[in-house]
Amino acid sequence: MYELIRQTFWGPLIAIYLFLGGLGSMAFVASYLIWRRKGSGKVVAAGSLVGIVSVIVGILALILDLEHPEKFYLVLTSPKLNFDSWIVIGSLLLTLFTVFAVLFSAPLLTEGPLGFLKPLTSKWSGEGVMNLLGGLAAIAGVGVAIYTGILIGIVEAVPFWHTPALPLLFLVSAASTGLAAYDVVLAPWLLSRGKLTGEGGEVAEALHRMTLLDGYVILFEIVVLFTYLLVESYGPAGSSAAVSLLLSGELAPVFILGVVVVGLLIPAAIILGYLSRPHEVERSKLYTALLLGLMVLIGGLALRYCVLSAGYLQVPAI
Amino acid sequence: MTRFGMVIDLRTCIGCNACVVACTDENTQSLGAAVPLGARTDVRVVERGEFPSTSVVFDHRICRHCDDPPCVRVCPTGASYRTQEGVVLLDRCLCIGCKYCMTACPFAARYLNEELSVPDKCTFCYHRTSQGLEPACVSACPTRARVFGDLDDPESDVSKLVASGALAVGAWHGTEPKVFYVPPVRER
Repeated sequence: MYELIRQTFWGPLIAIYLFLGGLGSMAFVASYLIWRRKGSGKVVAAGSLVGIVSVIVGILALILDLEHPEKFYLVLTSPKLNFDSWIVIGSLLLTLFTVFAVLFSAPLLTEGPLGFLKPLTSKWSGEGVMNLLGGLAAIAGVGVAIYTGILIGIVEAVPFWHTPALPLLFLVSAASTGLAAYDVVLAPWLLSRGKLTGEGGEVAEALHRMTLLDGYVILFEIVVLFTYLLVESYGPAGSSAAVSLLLSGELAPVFILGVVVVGLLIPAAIILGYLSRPHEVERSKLYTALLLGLMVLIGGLALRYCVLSAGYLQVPAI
Repeated sequence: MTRFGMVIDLRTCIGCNACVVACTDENTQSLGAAVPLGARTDVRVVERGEFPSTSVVFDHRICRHCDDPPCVRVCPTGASYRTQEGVVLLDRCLCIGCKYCMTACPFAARYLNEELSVPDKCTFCYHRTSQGLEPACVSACPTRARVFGDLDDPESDVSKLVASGALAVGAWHGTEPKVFYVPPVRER
């Protein structure tokens, strides 16, 4: 015999962290890869900044969710620190990511109002050092993105989470939302500039290509999500109950509307059906890119919330 | 070595809840903060079957003090730990309240103590049992349905009950629980 108890221990703040941690780290990874290919400096700087800020806000959400946020430092300084705990491993990854990503981005961002810091940041702005810092941050970043899924994936007590599909799903969603973040940040900037020539044209072109790539990532995410739910619907009881909750229960409005329709189907249809047509990058397309970027982000956040909220403990009973 | 364990004999449990009340009474004092009724251990009336072949089971929820406890494995700061006697305890000074232990426990044995903001749980009344006394719930039980003792001592009452077939309910989780249940005798 068993009894199903819906977990309420981890709520919206953890969902925000899982969402922002994945988005931020993968936005940074994309920025590092563009930097390596000598892409637009504007895109690289914007991506790094979005990545770092998102991850830091995510870390703050994580700390605020603690019952004792004032003791958060114990997560890395406790005298009895448990290196088997995925919260410790995750905190190390988050720390390494933030340190290396900030060091990598600093030389790129010390321009304009921050120009006075140039003498400091130029000490490590050589290409080799930058490549090393960015590479280390990117490796830690992929770790952070997968970790968001491993954190709850190792919880054997909640069968709906306890599957290797979950870290994979979160990683793919992190890549998708990380790319979509560029739309949300750069499309308004391009729209405010007027003509899409010179630097603007370069950025618009890069944005267009990243949006297209996101279309394929979203397609892959749809396949992963479908497979995940299909397999989980066959049990154990805690898993099939979670799938019912998402597809026809209390969470169905958020899941079907937010995650599936707004977050996946409409963006995939727009990107692959409309934006991929080979004609000039136009201003009207920027509005579309901004809108679907926002939709992908809403979907990503809703996905984390739904997966957390649908977690059932399957408690043995006599 | 001493390995503390408990057997809950559902053949003799009458569902009086004396264990639940004794737990709250004893541990509100030992913890120095309110332990709500049914928080650390609980007895629920579960009805089984369909008329006319029905039965009632008293299901006891309590920490199993697993030998391989998932709550200890996931705890980042080492706040959750196992004593030498295999009792799973929480060091409040080290607990940051991440609630990982609460999601990880397959037996839903932890609850959030609102007053202290920590995931509190049954301690097998460690302040008593480490001094050779019984847990409060065991002392309070009028029908001796709860039995406590050393699982490593083959002559102890708990060992004998385990040897005669008390069940480690939920053992398939692989955590090696140390609370066992003797199933109730069915009327038909």
